[in-house]
Amino acid sequence: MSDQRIFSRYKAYEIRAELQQGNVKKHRASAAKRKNALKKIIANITMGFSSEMLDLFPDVLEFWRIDDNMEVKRICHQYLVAMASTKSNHFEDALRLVVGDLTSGSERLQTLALRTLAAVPLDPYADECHKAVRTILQKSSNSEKLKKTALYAILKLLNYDTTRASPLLELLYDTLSNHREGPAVRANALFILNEIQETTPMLQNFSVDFDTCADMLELLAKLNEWDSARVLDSLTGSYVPHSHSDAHHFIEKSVSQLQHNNTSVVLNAFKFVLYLTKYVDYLTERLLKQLSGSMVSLLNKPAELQFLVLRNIILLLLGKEKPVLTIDISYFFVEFNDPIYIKDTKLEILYLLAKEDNLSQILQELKEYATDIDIQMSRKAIRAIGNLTVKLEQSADECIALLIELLDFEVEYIVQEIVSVFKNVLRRYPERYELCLEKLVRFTDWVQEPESRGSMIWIITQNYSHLPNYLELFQLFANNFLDEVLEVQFVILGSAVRLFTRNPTPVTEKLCVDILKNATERIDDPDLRDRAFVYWRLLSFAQNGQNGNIGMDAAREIIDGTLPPIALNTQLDPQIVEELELNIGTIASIYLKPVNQVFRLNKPKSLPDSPALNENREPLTIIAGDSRSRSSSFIADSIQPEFRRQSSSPVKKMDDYDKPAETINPLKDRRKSSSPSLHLSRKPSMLARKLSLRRPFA
Amino acid sequence: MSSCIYILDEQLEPLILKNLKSVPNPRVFAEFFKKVYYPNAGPVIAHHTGIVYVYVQRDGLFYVSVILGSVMFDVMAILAYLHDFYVLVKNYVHTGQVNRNSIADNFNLLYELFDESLDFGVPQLTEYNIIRDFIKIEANVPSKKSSENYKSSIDSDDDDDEESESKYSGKIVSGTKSSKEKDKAKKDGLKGDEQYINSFILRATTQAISWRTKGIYYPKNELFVDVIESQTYMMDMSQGQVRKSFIQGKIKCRSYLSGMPKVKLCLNKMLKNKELFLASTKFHQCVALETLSSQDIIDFIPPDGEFQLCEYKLKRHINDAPVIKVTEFKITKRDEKKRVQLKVTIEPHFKAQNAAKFLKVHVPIQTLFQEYSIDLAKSPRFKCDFGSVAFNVTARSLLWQAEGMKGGHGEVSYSMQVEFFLFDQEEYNKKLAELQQTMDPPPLRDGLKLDELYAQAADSKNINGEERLILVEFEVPYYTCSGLKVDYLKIEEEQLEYQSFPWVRYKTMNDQEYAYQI
Repeated sequence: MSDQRIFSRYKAYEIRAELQQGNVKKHRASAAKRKNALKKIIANITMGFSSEMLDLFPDVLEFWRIDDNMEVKRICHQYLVAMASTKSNHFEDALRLVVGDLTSGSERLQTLALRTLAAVPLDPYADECHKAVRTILQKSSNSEKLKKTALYAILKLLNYDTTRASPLLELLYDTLSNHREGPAVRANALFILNEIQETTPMLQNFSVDFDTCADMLELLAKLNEWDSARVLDSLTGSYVPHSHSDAHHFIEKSVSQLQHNNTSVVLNAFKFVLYLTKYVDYLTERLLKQLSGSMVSLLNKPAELQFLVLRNIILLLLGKEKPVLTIDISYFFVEFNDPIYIKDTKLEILYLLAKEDNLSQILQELKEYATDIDIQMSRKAIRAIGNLTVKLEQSADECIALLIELLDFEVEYIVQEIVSVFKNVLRRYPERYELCLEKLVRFTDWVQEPESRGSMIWIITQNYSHLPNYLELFQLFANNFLDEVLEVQFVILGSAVRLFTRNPTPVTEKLCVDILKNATERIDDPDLRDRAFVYWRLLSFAQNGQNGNIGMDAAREIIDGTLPPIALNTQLDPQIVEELELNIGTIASIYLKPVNQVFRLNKPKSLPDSPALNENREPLTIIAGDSRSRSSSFIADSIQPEFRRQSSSPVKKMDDYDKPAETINPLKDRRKSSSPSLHLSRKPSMLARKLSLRRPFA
Repeated sequence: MSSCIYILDEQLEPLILKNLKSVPNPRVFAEFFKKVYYPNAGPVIAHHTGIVYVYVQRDGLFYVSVILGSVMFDVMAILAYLHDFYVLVKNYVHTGQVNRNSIADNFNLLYELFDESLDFGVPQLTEYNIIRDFIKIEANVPSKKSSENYKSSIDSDDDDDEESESKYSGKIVSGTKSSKEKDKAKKDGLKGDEQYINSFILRATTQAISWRTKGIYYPKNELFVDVIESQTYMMDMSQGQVRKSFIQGKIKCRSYLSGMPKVKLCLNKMLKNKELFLASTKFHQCVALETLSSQDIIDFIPPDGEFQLCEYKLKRHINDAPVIKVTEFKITKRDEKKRVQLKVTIEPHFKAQNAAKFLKVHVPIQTLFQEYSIDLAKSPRFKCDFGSVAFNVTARSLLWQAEGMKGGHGEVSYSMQVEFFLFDQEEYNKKLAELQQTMDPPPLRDGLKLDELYAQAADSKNINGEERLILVEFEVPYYTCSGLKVDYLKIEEEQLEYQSFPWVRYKTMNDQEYAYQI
């Protein structure tokens, strides 16, 4: 039998006919037929023809009544849930059937009925559900599975009508503290309480005490993987250790979970342990090793999971002067069959991990990628090298040498990317790499993309004193002013004005006036036009000197002031890192932004206060081995308590210039098509095609 | 967590819609996914309206979970769930791939699986061994033939090929006929499964040990333990630098044991350098993790049937020789003979009494062809100490294949030589001139027209980094390159006290990335 035919569109009357046909003859073959017809209904709902299927409501109810087959029952329930939004008047009849199923003996049917009750957003259903949840949770003889379902039903009821369902919270508390309940039931009660606390305004002061926490960790061995993950997740933040020894105790208890095969369990265990380390007085070397090891072994999971692990590694690296993780860089070398998003993330990690001592190894890898056949990858690698040059002052020479070496390949996209990157390098180290200038300038004709063009113009203007033929070079761009992309036009305008103020000769004056004229008269963009006007007026004021306020010097300062140095800060605000560390494995860890920036409605998490909390975030001492004899009264007197929540803005706003130094920008595909070089190369072929149109001879 | 879960086909058309939180119109969000999705996007796509899609792509299909309501959630749990769900479905449909048809044919089963594995969008249970006890719907698989087909195709997730494994299981357990039968029964799919493997009395999902049910009975109690290590190795031959060298190991078990057996297993690695080993090891949920730090024994109650006990990743020292070492790759030009000779020498590094089951060395020749102008009209000559050499024209590489290669530690080596003829301008000119002068038609060519084939293949340029890599594939049974050994294995069942038969076997093979860069 092939179900292929089930998955096609049917009219309601066709299925009805089939259902009734099955009804007449009451034997086995007809039962199979009926089931088939019911399946067709579900298939049609899946395909989006629910309104057509709505007509079959009475027929479905009829079979619900007479058929005892589990599969049929399941389809009926599914039908009911799918129709929930239609407000059909058959729901009352259906309710009776659902309640009937709920009181039947079969555990599976009961679970199914309870879920249906909770899933239909209608008042009578909610009423029944309230009743059912209470009776199920209070009766100890019910099976764990049914109780678990009842717990989740509470969550649904809260969603549906918060005020009515709030008395049910008591039940959750009772379940959590009842030692006779099964482990899975208690674990889920904890999870749901935590979930309510996080997503609703209720239960603001929900917390777990020492005994419960110890209990729950004890239960871990008996829980299945998903439940364990949730317990660890829920305990983070809701249990607050009151002394260092408590924290140490629980770290010891939960650290074994890092060994689990399920990625979700590992990350949640990691989060919990990391959270507890905020409440201890020292860390053991062994623990740090275990933490790093657990991350490394997650790196051979399927790509999607790997991606999330890598993002979380970035999170942990960003945090501190001395990160918790010490992982060998070779784990982050890109493999050719990695998906692009993994390659990106790995490059970012390599950039973050780069230090003076491992730089040569990283540069070698990056060189490989830069000469890769994959153009995107190659560009990203070059960008990363450029960023490293800016980041590591002592090794800048090494990076520059590599960039120059790559330049010699004379491949178009490599050259363009290097030019773009060099802008930052020259800005970071002015007067240090003049020797490279000549080499760069040789490629003036090569740069086609807006970014590299802009960057080339900037380089020429800024270093004109080292380039004897700077005017010629600049002229190349200036002549093309009207055809450039807006972005480049801005740069040309700024540069022309700057060149004039620096070196006011008739030539530069003419150049400048030409550009200003073009910009004000022939450009449509209001921003560019306005800026040109401002420059023009400023210059004419300064030159005429009518108004004593502005002299040429002042104008020069306005137009060509000293640029602020590019400051690099790969460290995020400690407060944000702290919050992110409480959110390991969640969506915030992907975007590396504080929770309420990702989702405004969410409450920011913070470390709850406790006497054991390491208030000042001073680095903990790391001791070898396990010795517990260290006194817990370790306080570093010498370290001045740093100002804790000092930064005023939640996220450092990144200026255009130092942006690449902080993150490696993902290249957009869009750029490729907008690149003028492509347009140019396409033109002849278009022309050729037009010419080669087959036309009859005239 | 998840509000709805979809399975979408290659064109992002929904095949399955599972509404988990009574979302009014679930189809809308499946349609919207088409708008936000772009190829190569990461596994999480967040839209500014607060809709978040989390998805994995398996066999071309998309398993998408949509989360509404702008709430914080555990992405990792959802990703892990989607992946596990895919594995679960794969177990049910018994095909190597879960494609569009297998979903459409079994959509009812899939809805049931969603029902069982999720509650209110929160993952509950994804263990096939448990779920199959109460969802007994047989998957609707096209035909017997194609389901067997999958057995020979390699399971994409697990690198080891089932068929080859069973062959060498035959060797080890020769004499125990029943186990062979069992293997065969397993291959026949679910029916065999039910018939041979299980005769259970009562099962329930949630109890103290959630991965094993009570009342399992087998007439013969056996436990198979397979230690499979795959080596990743990457060496830059031009600089003599080893870039990557590590071992990924898996211990896979198949348990056919009655009752609630407690298994104690001890690895020599645990005794020697326990901390280092544990740091890189991940265990199945059945292992009592809390006892690992205090004892040197892995303690577990195995689930029924097949499962992966643990996986580990070991770094190797740079100077440790890889299992198959390429010691020489040389291109010599012989001007006097107008030939180019390519020579590759390898050295096995494993115990002399073992033998590699097979060995495949892929030698790229694209760079050679770029450097020299080679005349393929004269067919190249091949020579090797062992096995056979083939010229793969489309992949532009040489394939050196050998079976049953003996091991050694540097004292033996094998080499392979290929000679290509260089294009001889003088000779060509001479020929041309001759042709112009005579009235004879050009001589007929016999044999393969390699040059034409090559030109054809060169047209369809394949772009990947592989043309500079010598890839080596191999499999060495009875040997673990990390030296890992099962020192001790004991099965105890307090009530039944039966005699049990544990079997252990080892295998070392190459990982996907085992290459020498030239």
